[in-house]
Amino acid sequence: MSIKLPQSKSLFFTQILIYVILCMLIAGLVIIPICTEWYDAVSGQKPIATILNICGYLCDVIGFVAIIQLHHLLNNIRKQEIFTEKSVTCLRVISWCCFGIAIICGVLGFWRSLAWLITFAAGFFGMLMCVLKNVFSLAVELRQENDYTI
Amino acid sequence: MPIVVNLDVMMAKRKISAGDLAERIEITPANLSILKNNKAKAVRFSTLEALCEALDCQPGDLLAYTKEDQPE
Repeated sequence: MSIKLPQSKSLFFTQILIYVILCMLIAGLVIIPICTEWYDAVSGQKPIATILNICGYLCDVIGFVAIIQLHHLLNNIRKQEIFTEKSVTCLRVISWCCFGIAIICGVLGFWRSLAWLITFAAGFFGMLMCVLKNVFSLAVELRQENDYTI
Repeated sequence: MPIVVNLDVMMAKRKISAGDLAERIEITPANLSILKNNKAKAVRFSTLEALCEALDCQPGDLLAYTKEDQPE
């Protein structure tokens, strides 16, 4: 059985999730050093707390940018300004952020191979966003053509 | 764009204002302005038909083709 949420409700829930993630990212600024210390102790490998901290903070900042862009994109969708240049820019920035995280985790993978899983996930998501950006870009072109058809 | 809309020329010949023409062919003055200023990307046959009827002319009187490298 499938549950269909009205568009406004799905938007509402997604925005709530965005706020939750934003809070997590802000909290991350404090929690990251604690988490890296804990992970270093648990992993049983050579401690690399500094590298983990640097990567963690970089990912946190990039994630923050991506979430803000996602928030703007959802606001555009709510205002019925879906196929606009602004939405394309949001998607482009989100895809760059995903690739940025993929690169950071790719480098971290040389110390902790588990990070390559995040590289794969972020890279895959970045590619998806890139495809979506191209679709939106095409839709913007079509809309403009339609607007200028008299 | 190599296709030029000579709507203003035809309107001057027929001595009809943009507002009157827009009202007669039932399009908004804003859309007529887009057409008149060569900003349109496409023209519907129905619009062209209405224009020809209102201005008593042929599609060829309204549209002209100029090569892009040709100096104006």
